[in-house]
Amino acid sequence: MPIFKCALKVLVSHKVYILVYTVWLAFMGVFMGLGAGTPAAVPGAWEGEPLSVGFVDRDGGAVTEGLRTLLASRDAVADVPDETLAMQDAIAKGEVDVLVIVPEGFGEEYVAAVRAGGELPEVQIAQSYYGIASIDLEAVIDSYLSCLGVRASFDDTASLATLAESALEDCEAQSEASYVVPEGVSAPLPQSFTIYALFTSYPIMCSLVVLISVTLREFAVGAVRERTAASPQRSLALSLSVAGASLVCALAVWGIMCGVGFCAFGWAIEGVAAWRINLVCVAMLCYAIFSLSVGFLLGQLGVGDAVSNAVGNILALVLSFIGGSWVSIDLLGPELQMLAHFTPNYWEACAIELAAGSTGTAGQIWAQALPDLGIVLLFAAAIGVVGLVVGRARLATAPRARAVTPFGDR
Amino acid sequence: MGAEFASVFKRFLRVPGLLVWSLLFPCILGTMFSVMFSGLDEIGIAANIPVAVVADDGWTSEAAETLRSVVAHLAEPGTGTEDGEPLLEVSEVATLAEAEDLVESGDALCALSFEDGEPRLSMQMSTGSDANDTTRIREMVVKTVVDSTLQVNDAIEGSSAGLQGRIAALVAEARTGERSAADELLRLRESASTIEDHARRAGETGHVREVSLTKNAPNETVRYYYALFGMAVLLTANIGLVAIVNVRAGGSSVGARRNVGGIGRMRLALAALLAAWILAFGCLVIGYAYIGLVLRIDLGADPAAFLGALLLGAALATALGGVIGALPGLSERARSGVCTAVACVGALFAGLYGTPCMEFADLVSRMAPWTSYVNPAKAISDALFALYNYDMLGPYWQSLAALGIFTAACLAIMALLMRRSRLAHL
Repeated sequence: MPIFKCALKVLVSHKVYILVYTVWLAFMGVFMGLGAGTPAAVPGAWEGEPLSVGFVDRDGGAVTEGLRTLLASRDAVADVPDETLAMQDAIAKGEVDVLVIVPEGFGEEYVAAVRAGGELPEVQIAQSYYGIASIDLEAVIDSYLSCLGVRASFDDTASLATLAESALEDCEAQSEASYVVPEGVSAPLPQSFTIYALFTSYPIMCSLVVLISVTLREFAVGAVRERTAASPQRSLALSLSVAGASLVCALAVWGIMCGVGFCAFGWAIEGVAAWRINLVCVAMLCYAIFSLSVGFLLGQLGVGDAVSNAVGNILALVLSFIGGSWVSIDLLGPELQMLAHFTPNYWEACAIELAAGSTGTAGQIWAQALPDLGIVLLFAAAIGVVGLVVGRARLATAPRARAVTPFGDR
Repeated sequence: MGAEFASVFKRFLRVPGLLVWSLLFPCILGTMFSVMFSGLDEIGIAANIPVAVVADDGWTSEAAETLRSVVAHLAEPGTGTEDGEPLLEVSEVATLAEAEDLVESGDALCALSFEDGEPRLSMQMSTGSDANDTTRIREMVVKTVVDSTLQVNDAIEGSSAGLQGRIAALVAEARTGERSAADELLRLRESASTIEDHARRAGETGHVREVSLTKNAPNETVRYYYALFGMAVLLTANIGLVAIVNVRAGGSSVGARRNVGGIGRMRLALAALLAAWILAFGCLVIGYAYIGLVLRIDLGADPAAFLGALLLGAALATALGGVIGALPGLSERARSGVCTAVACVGALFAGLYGTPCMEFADLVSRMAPWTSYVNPAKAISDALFALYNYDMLGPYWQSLAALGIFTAACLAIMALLMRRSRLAHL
């Protein structure tokens, strides 16, 4: 028990690591999750996702006004100043998904060209990063101008305002759309909470690898080790005490991650089935156990603070990226997707994705997730065994204390 | 001073942590990015969207003829955004239940049926767990295409009805002997086929042209490299930190010995900072060369301007490290922790940690533009980004000016802290 308490005191004494790697990185995950903020898809009525559209109106006529009204009815439309820097900013910084530029005199030229059979002028669009958004908007603009052109062809005396009004009425026709909702499905987790849960692999690994490796090193080397070896306590009891303290540390870090997530996203996960949230927490716990085993291995290797920090940070970053925690695994090349299968992050992310949005009953989803969680624990067991072997080998090769006579003879 | 200058270089090679964080970490991260982020370019592509069509009596009816021809056209090669690929990949099934099974299993994005004279879409539920998930927006593309056939049909029907009404009115006027009405009827009769041609052309022609407004095409992946350089700059602050700790009398035993000598404190600090600045810049240049030449990543900017930004960034990082090193009352571990924390936080707000992080960073930048100037990682990232996107150098110089002001402020704080250091005395 004294060793257990002492180990806990050593852990707690590393306040900077706790503050930076556990608390602060957890809040970084919260900021990222809050930035995502898409509400969960509710079974039933389907709704499109409003795009962010920048509008540059060089025409100022009724046709352009009608187009803007149509876009504003389904998307978030913002007027962008007709200046090069402002338009570049809007596109380059992702302020808008698509920028629509209506040339000067467009409305009159378009209607005149339709009626005369001449070449039709075009509206310009500039896309930001997600080109697929411009495809949808292009189809909307095409539809409006097609309706207006048809109206103008049949009625060559109608004014621009009349044509625009008629085209807007035509564009009110919408097909019915709904979700395919399997029986027994419940609302998925909100994206904000899911992104936070996926991000926590980084702070969990950083915290536990650094904290546990530096703590184990304190007990494994130097005068502390010699004193504890001289005590009547058996080495097994000593090891179990230190291991117990490490486990408490892992549970505490996991608890902090879950607690921060519930506090920050409690409003978003209200009404979501409890089993989804429980599965996410269990996935995070399994990953914490894996991180504990990596910290144990580094502790057995006797690495210093600097190396622990470097390994913890770099390993956590690399595993988080490759494992699909931060970037969708589907976007990686086939070789990397294969490599991802050899990381525990991939399996943790699979379990969290199952919890987040899979359609099925609780039993079905848990049954699918348990093998993923089991693989994470197997990774932990494998690393833990390696750590034990390394520790044993270091013990066997450690310099032994030899008896010294009162005269200094050996 | 020369001895102190040289000793900083020697110490850099003997402290593994400095090598790892300042030199190896950016190269490792850059390597990882180079093999990971190519897939992000794929999400801008709309092609082969799987749609299950319920080919029942409703679908084959005359009312669905326009929708059938539009869907058939969009299933032809070349209609998608990827060269030679169709926009839609159509699977025909006999019943709605079969189509919804395909949607549920993920083999189809949506099920399209024609019931009671109107199209109906049954969409796949998006898991919503991935910021790159394009399920919802692909569904929007399909819906917009289906809606446009309804809308153009309505326009044709409405226009035809309007024209017939007009003709009926003209006929009634012509019967009363109105000459102009008769002339108008004759004109409409002669131009009937022209009207039809014009209407068809208006309905079928594309009305939108894509243009590029930026110097280079918008590319999300290159922003991650710029954020990486932002973090790499902040990580080189460790060099400045170690350099200043070893010239402060109360910083370390080395610092105590240095201060026993006859060289003034500020001259020692200046020599240490200059050496640290050169080392930091050297690490960043190696990282830039590795990413640009070995990984062959197109960073899309004038090399001289890029290196100029890195040079100023290295100066800022050295000064920042110096401030952290000069802070009294902190242990070595705490100073290192502060350096790491500053780099992590800066990288968060520069958008390094994946797509959600980049969106969050953009959101913060829009809501509070001043944060882009007080976060060195974001300022560096913005400066490099400005070189990539804008035709003019104004935004680039703005970011560099912010870096310069930040550097000057850090140097002033550091000088103040070192000047006021009080040592143990009798």
